[in-house]
Amino acid sequence: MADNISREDILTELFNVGVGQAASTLSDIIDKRIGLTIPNVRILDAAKGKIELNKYLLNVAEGAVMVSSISFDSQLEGKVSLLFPADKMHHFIDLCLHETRDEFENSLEFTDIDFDTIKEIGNIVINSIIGELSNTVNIPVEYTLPDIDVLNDANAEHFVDCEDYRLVLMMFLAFDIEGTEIAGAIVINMTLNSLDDILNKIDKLYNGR
Amino acid sequence: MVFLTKILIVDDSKFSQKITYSFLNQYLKNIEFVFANDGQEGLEKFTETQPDFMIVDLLMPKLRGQDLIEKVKQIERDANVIVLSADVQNRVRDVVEKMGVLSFINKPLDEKKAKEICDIIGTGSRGR
Amino acid sequence: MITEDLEITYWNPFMERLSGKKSGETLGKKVDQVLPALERPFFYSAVERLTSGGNPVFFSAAMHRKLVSPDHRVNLKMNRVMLEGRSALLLEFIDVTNQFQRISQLRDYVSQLSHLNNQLKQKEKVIEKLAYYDKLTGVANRALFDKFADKYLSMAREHGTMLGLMFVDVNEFKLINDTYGHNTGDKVMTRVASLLTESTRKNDIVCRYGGDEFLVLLPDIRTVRDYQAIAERIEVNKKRHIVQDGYDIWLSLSIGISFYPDDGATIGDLIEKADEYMYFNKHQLRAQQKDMFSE
Repeated sequence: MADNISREDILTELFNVGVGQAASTLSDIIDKRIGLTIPNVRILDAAKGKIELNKYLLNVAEGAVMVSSISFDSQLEGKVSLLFPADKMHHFIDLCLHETRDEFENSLEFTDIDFDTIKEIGNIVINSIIGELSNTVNIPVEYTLPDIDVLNDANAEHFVDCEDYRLVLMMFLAFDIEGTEIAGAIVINMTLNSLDDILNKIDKLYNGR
Repeated sequence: MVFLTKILIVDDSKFSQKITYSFLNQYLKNIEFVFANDGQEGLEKFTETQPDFMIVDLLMPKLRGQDLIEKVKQIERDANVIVLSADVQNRVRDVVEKMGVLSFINKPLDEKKAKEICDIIGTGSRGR
Repeated sequence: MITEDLEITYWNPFMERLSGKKSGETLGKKVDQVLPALERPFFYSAVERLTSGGNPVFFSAAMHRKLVSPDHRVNLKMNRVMLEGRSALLLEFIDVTNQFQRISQLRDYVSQLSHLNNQLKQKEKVIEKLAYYDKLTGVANRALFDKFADKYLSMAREHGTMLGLMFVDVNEFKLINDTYGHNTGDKVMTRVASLLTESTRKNDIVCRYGGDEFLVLLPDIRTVRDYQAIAERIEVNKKRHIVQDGYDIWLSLSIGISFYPDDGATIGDLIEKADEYMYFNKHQLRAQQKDMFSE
């Protein structure tokens, strides 16, 4: 049994569970099966994080993203952003709402209804992921409903905060709904202390055996 | 003579393997543990070592958990499979349970669920 | 407001209006009984998570229809609150029916505009057709002929091929009009136009040049054979009876053909030459007819 389990292994498994729960909730709500891929979690310093995120923004999102974000500052401090490529969002929303729009809509124009839908999806995903993290380590985390934004020509600068947080957790995940794959990214800015707190707790829990 | 019960744990997360191992090792005696890091390896180890029980994660690269279980059941229809997964959608659960698994456990593993698994295994190994 | 066990402890006047159920009926009951749309796993797990974690939950009107009643679209915001030292759950239902109506109206409007746009495009096509096509027979008019003539001439020059120009005259046109009326005359012209179109190749242009005259552009002629095939097809129908409007009509065509570069270097030259040959053909035919009748 290999003992070289990295911090990333641990967080990957944790977020795995969180994403699984999010998919389960979403699946129940939209009444469709959601295919999941294993999220890949990386712990990076802010500089490296920006590079990786810019790659995603360029290659997957092609510049325009829809963002749900929350800040948490009770016991654990950080900022979470859930990013999806804006051009896929209309289709994603349609799949969730069992609708088909046949007009060619401007990729970056979203109605209030679209925003509310994404607010719900963002809340479900973030809730599940942060919730799972919080439960496992028994550290309560407080946050509000997500803010939703559409950013044209997004840059990692916007999501990776170098000043307050020195570490970035990045997770790339994909949902598959009826053959349509949406590739998203989750960026968690955290202080070094917060991350240490989490990992220490996990250590205690599982290494006592 | 001490009979060993062979348990094969298939999971792409080393951390998860370790947790499962820790829990089971606490409650069960005389176990030989075998580990596989993805579905493909899981299939190989299954044919190689012929475990008494398999604990399978669903979300894995190369060969998905579901597909692994299908292949295993093709080789040995009464293979003892317990699913331990983060993918907890009802639809997924239905499909997998139809394949004839002993139990479908939602991750994360805790005391209660671990005991559940051990009860299943315990009964099985006592029958030998 | 509800307790952690889903029992309703407060039901405000807005909820009464929205749901059609009075506060008296709902207090003490479980919220998933009063609002059956909430009798789902996602709601129960949301309540659990809210109770233990305290972080808000949001359900959108779009993903959840008929949360409260079939005629209103509502968002649902859930928060945990402290009331007299105990925690309770606050369920805020927000009416957004207007948003949906507005979006629906906008969509209808866009769809109407799109429909109108398509109609306009169709009309444009018709206008274009009127500009370039003969109203009666549907073949090209002079304007289109001139366009293609220039184009085909340039092509022939470039590629070193021949351009054929056929001048077709319907001999009995005036007679038919006088005898059977203009209506029938028109229909006969239309049939001649069809005949010519059917006998020629895809890129050949049949044009109505005058009341009883057609010009046919024959591009990409490399050998005389190319032309002969077409000529043969037309020959079959050059002199014949047709039945139109119940009348048995005798029809004959006079045809003259000129070729670039042999017969001329400009379209004007080619037309002149073809016209000449056509007249020659006309006289030939008249002579033949005279012979026939004198036999």
